Amino acid sequence: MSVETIVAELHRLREAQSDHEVMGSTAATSTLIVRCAAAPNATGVSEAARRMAIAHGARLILLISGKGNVQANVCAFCGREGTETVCCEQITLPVDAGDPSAVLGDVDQLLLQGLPGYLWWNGRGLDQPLFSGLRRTAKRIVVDTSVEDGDGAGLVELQRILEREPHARLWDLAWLRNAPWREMAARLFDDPARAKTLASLEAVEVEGEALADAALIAGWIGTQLGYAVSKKSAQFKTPTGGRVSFTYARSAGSESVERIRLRVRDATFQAERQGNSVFLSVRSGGEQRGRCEPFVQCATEQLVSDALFGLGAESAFRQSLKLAARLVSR
Amino acid sequence: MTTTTTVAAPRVDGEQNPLRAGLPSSRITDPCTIVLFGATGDLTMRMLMPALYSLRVHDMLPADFAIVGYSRTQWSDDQFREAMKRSIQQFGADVGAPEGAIWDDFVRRLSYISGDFDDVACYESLRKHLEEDLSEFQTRGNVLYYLATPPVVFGEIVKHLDLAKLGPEDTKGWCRLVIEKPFGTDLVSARKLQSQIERVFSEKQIYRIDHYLGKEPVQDLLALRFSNVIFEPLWNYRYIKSVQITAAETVGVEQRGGYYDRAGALRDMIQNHVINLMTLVAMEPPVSADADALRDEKFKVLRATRPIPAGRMDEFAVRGQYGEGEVAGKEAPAYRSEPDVGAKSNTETFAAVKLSIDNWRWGGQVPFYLRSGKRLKRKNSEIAIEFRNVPHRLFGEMGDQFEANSLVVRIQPEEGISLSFNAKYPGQAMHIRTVSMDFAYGSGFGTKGAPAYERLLADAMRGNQTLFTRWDAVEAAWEVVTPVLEYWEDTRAKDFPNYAAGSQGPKAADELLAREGEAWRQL
Ligand SMILES: NC(=O)c1ccc[n+]([C@@H]2O[C@H](COP(=O)([O-])OP(=O)(O)OC[C@H]3O[C@@H](n4cnc5c(N)ncnc54)[C@H](OP(=O)(O)O)[C@@H]3O)[C@@H](O)[C@H]2O)c1
Repeated sequence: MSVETIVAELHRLREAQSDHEVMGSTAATSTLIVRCAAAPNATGVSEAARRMAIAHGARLILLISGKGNVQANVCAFCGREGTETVCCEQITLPVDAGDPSAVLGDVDQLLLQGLPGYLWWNGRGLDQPLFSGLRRTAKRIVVDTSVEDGDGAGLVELQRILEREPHARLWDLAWLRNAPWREMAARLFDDPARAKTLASLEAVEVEGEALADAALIAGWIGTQLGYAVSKKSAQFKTPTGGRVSFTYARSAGSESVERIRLRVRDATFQAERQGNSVFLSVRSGGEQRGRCEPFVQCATEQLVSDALFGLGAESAFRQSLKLAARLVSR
Repeated sequence: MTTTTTVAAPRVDGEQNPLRAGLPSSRITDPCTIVLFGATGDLTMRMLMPALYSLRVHDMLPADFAIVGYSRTQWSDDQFREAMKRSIQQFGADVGAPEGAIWDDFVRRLSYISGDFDDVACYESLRKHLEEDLSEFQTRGNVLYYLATPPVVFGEIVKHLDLAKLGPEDTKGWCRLVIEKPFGTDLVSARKLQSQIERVFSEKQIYRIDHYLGKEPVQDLLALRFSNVIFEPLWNYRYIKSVQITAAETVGVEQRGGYYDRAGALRDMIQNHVINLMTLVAMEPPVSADADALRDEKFKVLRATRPIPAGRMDEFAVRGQYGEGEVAGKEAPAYRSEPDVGAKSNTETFAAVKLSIDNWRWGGQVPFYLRSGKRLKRKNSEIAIEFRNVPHRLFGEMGDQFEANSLVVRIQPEEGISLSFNAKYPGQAMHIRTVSMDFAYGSGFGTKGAPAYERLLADAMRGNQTLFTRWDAVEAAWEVVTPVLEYWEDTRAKDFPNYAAGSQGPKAADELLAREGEAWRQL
């Protein structure tokens, strides 16, 4: 389908709707571009994208992986926005695996002119020309480095991009998703007596589904404690010249993070996911003391929505990403 | 082999924990025991316990807390825990089933005392509970007393807390008192209650609940007024013609006929919720967001509220009582046929008053119409600011639906804001139509605000009094409504019932506005 046909179809849709007085109001305050890889959660992503489009009054451009038989299509969908019905236009464009950037020209022409564009890049390929092309059209971007291959390549690529474009408004879902873990790790050391033991931290161990999540948590711990990453090995260098190891254990099919363990000289501090709660414990001299805390996590849709439409810059993310990328890049 | 013991949460200390720096945390940090007087009652079951559990599930409660229930019903700790579990199952929203590790941890912190509120032995038992909580749950001796009982026993409870040396002078940590509405039944009784309470608690320790103030849109109203430049210049008698504040319900008195028949709509809703909303609309910008700065301004509005002239009550206040009718397609009985209501009851189930504010901003020229009623056509709480018309109709008579602008802050059921303005209808002719710009909080931000009781409980634990009513404002609000109450008590309403259940309210209410060439917004 050519862009002209799509535009004509959009026009026809709008007329048909106003003839039938279907619409409460048509949303046209921004364009939300969502890269929806053919992942098992593609339907979930496109449904979440629709809800976000309704809530933020956006035209939705969905880029899906095409396998030859996927056609571009245009439709409108409506949803409740409080007491009002809001209708949004959705344009689905296939991305040709052989020539992914071919779709860029079409996207450019379908953006709502003069209004901001937002990009939720849900998939791999941060090094693809398609991603760099789309980046130029978007005011804010959310990616997810945890969907990259297990070697943390996404983190490294993201760090490279941010070094080149330090002003890019770019967020990583792997970072956003793990906010409750940062809180839990901090809670382990709220007791001033325990906080002191962080000076003798020897190892950071994270278990979970993806290396990216684990490395970002470790990167954040390193940032908070003023660490650098040593050039030769995946280790932190402390400000006093000490070494702190980082280990990631993969537990396939688990939550993004299952467990964080911090070993200090004479004790092990651990936060471990148990259903809707996290068990925080300290083991020292053969004795374990612990307590349960609620684990409160926002839905992905909410995190993406906040990042695209609301959050301010967070320097902790940039710092943590820098260390995380170094931890995984050797 | 290792042994696992449960430990108390350490003191949160952002300065010393390097991992905490920069983290957002909405958790309440002060540990405490919450003592619920009236623990078997409707409010505890429907609102307080679900709110407390929700705070826990959403990780907002302090890590160390305990809850003690106190009522006459003979229950053991386990029976109390069972009842609270059922209440959460039935009324808790967004918290999931009460089970699993978080529930287990929550429920073991609940305990119960049964007895009368004047039983000295029970207060001794309460002391033991507080001491046990201090050592077992590390509550640091902080106590939040919550009076969820019938108001007649408020004074009694406070007196006994003092006698038992459980008041603020004698507790190890902080000691706060949360009091449910109504605070008194008229000016005299409110003053009496205040004098009983202030003997033991200072104003800084008293949290008078008006749960309307905990609702999201009430704070949105402050944000709307004081974080936008476009409204404040118009917010005065020069541009605003009138203000309507409505709190309409479709429900009748339900199981609370006994209480309601002694209260009525003016006491139950207007004296507290609706007048509170009026003060937020009318007040001057506070110098800061600090609790007292805001409450100072609210109080000034009440001081400037013109007393209703004696002898002209009917020109300023209207009452109604519902007869039988139909609400949402279902037959509804007359008020006088409701359980625990007298067959000749003179109690109003609808009240409307017209007030004016004599200060620089309002100049006594802007009527504030307040109304509240039960069994009305639609559940609807809102504040409607009606602006004046343009000074000159440039487009002549053509704009037949050309209306003055209005700004409506919806409080329930749908929280949001709409602004109506006029625009040209497409076509060659110059037709003007009124259109509306609408903002719904839930979907606009993709997130919901905390329910009122959660917010208020959390604020009381944090020691934030912003959303609680200060004594001077309570007293001033009673001063505004007491003359009407007395007049209505002295003169029997001859036309009761004067509106059908499911209608817009009594005709006399329409006439109250019609005299000024105005009309209520339709429910
Ligand atoms: N329910 C609501 O939705 C609501 C809304 C706004 C404000 N309020 C206010 O909240 C308060 C409680 O209302 P409610 O509806 O929960 O009332 P309720 O259902 O009648 O409950 C009253 C509670 O107080 C206890 N109680 C009463 N008299 C007592 C006495 N002499 N000694 C010991 N315990 C006594 C009752 O339990 P025992 O019988 O076991 O003693 C019960 O636990 C009232 O001030 C009301 O105005 C309630």
